[in-house]
Amino acid sequence: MTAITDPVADYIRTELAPQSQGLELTPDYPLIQAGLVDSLGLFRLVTFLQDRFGIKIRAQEIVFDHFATLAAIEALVVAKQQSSEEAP
Amino acid sequence: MALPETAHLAALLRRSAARSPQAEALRDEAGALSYQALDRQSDRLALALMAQGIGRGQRVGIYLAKSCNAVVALFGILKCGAAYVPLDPDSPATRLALMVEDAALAALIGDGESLDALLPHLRQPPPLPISVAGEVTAAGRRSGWQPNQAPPVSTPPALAEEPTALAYILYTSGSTGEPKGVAISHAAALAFVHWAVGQFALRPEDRLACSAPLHFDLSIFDLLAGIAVGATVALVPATRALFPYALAEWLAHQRISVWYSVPSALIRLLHHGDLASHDLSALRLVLFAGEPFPLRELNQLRQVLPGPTYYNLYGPTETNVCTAYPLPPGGAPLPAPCPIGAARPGMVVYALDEAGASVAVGECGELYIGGDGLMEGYWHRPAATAAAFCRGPAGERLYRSGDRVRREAEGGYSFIGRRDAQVKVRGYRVELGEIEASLHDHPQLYGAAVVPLADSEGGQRLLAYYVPMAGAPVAVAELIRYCRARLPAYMVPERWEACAALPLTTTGKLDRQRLRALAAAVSVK
Repeated sequence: MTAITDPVADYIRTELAPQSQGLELTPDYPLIQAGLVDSLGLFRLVTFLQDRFGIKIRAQEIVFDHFATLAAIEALVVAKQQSSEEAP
Repeated sequence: MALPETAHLAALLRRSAARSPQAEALRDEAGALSYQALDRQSDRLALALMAQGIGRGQRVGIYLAKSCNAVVALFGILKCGAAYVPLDPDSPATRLALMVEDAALAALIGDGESLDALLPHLRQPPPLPISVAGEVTAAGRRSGWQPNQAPPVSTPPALAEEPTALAYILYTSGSTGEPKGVAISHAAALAFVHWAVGQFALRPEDRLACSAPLHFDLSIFDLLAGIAVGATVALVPATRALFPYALAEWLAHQRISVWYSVPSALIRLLHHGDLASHDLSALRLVLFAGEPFPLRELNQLRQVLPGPTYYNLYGPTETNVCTAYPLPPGGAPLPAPCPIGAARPGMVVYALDEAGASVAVGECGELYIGGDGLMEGYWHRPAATAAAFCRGPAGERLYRSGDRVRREAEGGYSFIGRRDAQVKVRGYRVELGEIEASLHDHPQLYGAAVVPLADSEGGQRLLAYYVPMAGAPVAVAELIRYCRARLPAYMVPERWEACAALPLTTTGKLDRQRLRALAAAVSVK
């Protein structure tokens, strides 16, 4: 687990899906398919990611491939952080 | 478009396949299926089922993700004369096992993986596991069937026309803690399909989005009315359903012309789909049902998407759509709440007071529903069926909806609320009593009560008050795990509050009003 996946996993466990408290959320655990992130939870998660990591996620980036797993979310956050560093 | 005179739903598919065999009937993430392929494949499945002795008077489960294969299974089951029973692939196996046993399924159509997960939960004798290709499947073995390889069968199964024969059974939440099966006949389903095809002028050029799962009766419109006219039914991909931008992109790319869903799906599209940036010019009709559409969001949607005609449809699973309200064109102002409209042709509705008399215009009463769309009854539950129906002023059979409505001056009705402890969560009807009964069985609880909380999507979330046994502290995580194993995800409460006792009324009943007042102080984070 990493500095990105740990807080995201904590947020999912405590705020979005209390039912996952006993689960080990591995980087490839299917968050969407297992129902841990649902329609309302998805946009709460987006807000959390933006606030926590200081990034801006655009509507067209909120797609299955970016939110399917913790690893996918991490990749999205890293990419957003890098692109904002490169920007002047 | 005129439909054939028939008493069998599958005759609608036969006719469309004969008229336009190469037209696209279905589309899912994996590909498309022509009318000819859908017809032939479901013929083959029907013959395979009949070879196993399955047919009239029996029931066959569909335990598949929404896909072309699931629709082949649906028509295959209808063609052999049996009724189909859709099982939600996302529900826990223990709850599905209750349905499988209650419906006494003769066979269960699934794939190897899904059947492996479910069959161990069933007591003897389990239904015959069958693949969509019609093979009896051994557990752990998947069939190597190729969807588009379907030679014609030499003798297609004859369709036995028997109007009162059951077409499908849909399970809904029941207050006693066990799901109830709503049994619908071919005649009732056909009455709805005939009305929908005419009312919405459905035609072969239409492309309907199927967003509801098979166990939700909104899918009857997309699949049966769409197939009846030879239109294309595009199944919303699971990877896009939750993601409004991706869904809007798909709607544009698929040139969807007819959309039917619960309001919350449309509200997500409105808030997060960036609808104005997509070309949704093909969309001519937007239908919604299942829960009230908050007026502010509905008006915003009509502004962002002024092209389509909008309808608010209303009807419990027991009747399918019984009233319809066409929204005024051009974004003209709506009354609050958005009305549910007047009875569709073939149906009658009455708003009655507690003495059984019609209420005056402007007054509220409970909605009673009669007509050609009524269910036959709750499967295998004569007492519950008898309690659900009564006789109307003209001696007709009426279903008591439990919904409170206001009679409007224009002749229609508006939905006001529920009479009892039933709520809607994400469009699903939930008996709070079913959740409470599950919790009551927990060895460390004296009891529990569940109340709805409003959420920011205009929907409802669930809050559970629970009373632990003295000296037996129980973790919330444990209660959630307990519910997850017994209830579908939408029925598992999100908020939990321990209390020493539940408030009771003077008659000793659970004081729901007081609980709701307590819950009003708790906000959904």
